[in-house]
Amino acid sequence: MLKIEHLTKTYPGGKVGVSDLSLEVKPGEIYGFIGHNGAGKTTTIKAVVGLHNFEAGKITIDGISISDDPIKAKSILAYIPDNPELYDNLTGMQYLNFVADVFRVPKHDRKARIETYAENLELINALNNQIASYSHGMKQKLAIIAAFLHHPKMIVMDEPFVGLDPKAAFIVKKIMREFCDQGNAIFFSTHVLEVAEKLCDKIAIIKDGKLIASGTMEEVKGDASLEEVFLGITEEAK
Amino acid sequence: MRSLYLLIRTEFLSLVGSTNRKGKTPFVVAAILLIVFGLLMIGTMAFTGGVTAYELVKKDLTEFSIFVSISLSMVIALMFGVVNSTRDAKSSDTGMLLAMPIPKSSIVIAKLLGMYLLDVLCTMVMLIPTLWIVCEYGHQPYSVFGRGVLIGFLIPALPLFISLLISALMNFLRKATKFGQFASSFLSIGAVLLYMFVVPRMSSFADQIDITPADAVSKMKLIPPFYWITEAIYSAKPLSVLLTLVITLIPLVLAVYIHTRGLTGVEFHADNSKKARSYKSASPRMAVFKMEFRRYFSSTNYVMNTLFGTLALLAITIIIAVQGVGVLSEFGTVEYEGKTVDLLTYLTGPAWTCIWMIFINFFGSVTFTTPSSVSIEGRRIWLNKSLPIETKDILHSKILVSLLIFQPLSVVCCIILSIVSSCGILPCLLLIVSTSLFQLLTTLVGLIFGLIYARLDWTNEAQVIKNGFAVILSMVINMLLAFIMCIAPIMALIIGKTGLTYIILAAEILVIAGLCAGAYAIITHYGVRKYESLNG
Repeated sequence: MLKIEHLTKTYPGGKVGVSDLSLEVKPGEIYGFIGHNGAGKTTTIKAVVGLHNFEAGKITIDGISISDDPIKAKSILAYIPDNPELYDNLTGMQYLNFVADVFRVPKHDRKARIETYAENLELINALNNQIASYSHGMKQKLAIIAAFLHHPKMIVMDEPFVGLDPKAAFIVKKIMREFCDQGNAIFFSTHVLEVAEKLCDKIAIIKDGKLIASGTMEEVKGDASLEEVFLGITEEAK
Repeated sequence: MRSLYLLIRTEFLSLVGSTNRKGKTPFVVAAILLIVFGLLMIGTMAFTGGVTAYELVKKDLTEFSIFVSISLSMVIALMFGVVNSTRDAKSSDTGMLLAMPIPKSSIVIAKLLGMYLLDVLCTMVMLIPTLWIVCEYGHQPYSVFGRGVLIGFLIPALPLFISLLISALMNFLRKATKFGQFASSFLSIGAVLLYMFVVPRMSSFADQIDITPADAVSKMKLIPPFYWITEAIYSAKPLSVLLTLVITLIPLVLAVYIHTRGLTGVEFHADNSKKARSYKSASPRMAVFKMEFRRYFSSTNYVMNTLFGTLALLAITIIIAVQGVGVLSEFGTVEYEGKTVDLLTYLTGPAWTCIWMIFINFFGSVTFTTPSSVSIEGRRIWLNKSLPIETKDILHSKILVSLLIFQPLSVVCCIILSIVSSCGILPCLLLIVSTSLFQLLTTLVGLIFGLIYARLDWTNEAQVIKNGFAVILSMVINMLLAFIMCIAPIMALIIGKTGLTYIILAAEILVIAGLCAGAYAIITHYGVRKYESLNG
């Protein structure tokens, strides 16, 4: 579903964000992406969703290159950023309608989907309020609803659980699993290793822009805990 | 006291810092520039106050001159107050300050003191020249001057109270109703327009007024609070002094109370949970345009700084439509060989086209949203960039919003002005085409600068709406273009060649159309690439 081949991104000024990174997310997989702050997770994610240009490598989503045909690639993709900066002066409903319009979600489908997701995430009563009045967690919930609204094939999430209350986090994890069981895929970054351990089918560990380990959970951690393995690998790579 | 001093010092440093964003100008230079700017404004107000008072004192309307000065300073203080009041009472630093070990009263006083001192300054610069002229030329004792200065410190309490009351109301409306943002934007623009129309006319009003001192007293009595204050200064009648204290001190206390509530009170949250949700759908292109349009009207700051030209054009067109072109006679009257000649009577169709073109293009050159429309996206730029939307469509929506806020009204004004000046169909058509193309060009040029000088790391949208380099540069270039467009047709008019004027106007239209095509090509090629490379 998502194929990253030899991705290299260098920032103006020479700082290397990601260097020769390759990985593949298959349909039905939840793929976790972990690493220190500044390791290159967000840079990779932003390149995948078309926010960052990159000078080398190739990224395809369901066989469509994000560089060559960004509109087609983005139409089967959804993105949830780490800090959902949304249009503060709009209501949640106006924002969801905007996203639904852009993805051409028919009127009757959008109503059913918005109500289902918003009720599950307990945001339904706040949808007519301005986004400016939302807490960080509520904004995160709105971004999650917007991501699932158009039934994408692939969702890319950057720290999706930050700010969510325990119940919402539980529901989001459940929705993520159901989404992937339908043959779709999720690629997400997280600092919460327990979540990655329980939720992911595969993980990749990145350090200083380079992939230092990847594979199924068993392949990467064996019998140890993910925390021990993560700390061990990242220390070794120094 | 120490915390109050620290807060005031921080406010001052922040004010100076706001004029020196990139930190390249030395602090002292920035502070001096700010003071010079302030002194220029003060000088203009003091001059208006002084001239008005002198005209009235000459006509033996000494007491009335104090009354006018008080009224004028109230209007100015209220204008500043209303403009401030349309912004949220809770600035971004309030929460942080309230969490610090600083007495709440110090925070309230520091915040309120800034507003109060500005109002005191306005009052004093109007009142002091008036009082001096009243004593010096009106032959009044200098005790009037002393009383006036003392009472001058109390006068701002009244407009301060009114503006804080409006602020509380606006804050409520913004959060409780759909149209609160509109109301607050239009109130701000209305206040600025009121100031623009009232203040420059005061000295000519004083020059033309022809009433006796007895008539003046009866006129003053129509506004009792201002009359009491005038009487307190002029004759120190105990009842007037008492009433002055009542009408200024009580509002001052109420102002402190309202401001304290505004800063520390419970936030109002509307309960919209039972409101029906709308699932209206639109095409992706229309959705992008609607989003751009909604975003524009949802920001008071954005509307305030871009809709001014549209409203001013509308107001002036209405005045000309109602009063006729004769209202312009003061600009078109010259003295020639001892006779007063009204040039307006000699103007023909193309001449009127040139005049209306200058007039409409001037307002058009300050009314566009495109220079700040890219920067205003700020850190939210990920939204548009991660969605399957063509970058061209995003840029088209920005151009369209900018054109829509001025263009339809501009066409209506062109037609009205052409009818009022009876300039004929061809000049009217030339006017519509030339002003429309000019507006398109300013919008496109604005977008090019907006893309080149995009700034997405702002913390307050005013940084890119008001002070953005793209905005200032676009405004200067557009005004220059508007000026250049006038030169040739006016020269042709002066030499009396009507046919040549038509040819020049048509040639200008062709040149502008060519420039528009060039600017559009830059946007669809370079502009698209530039937008796609932006990162919030």
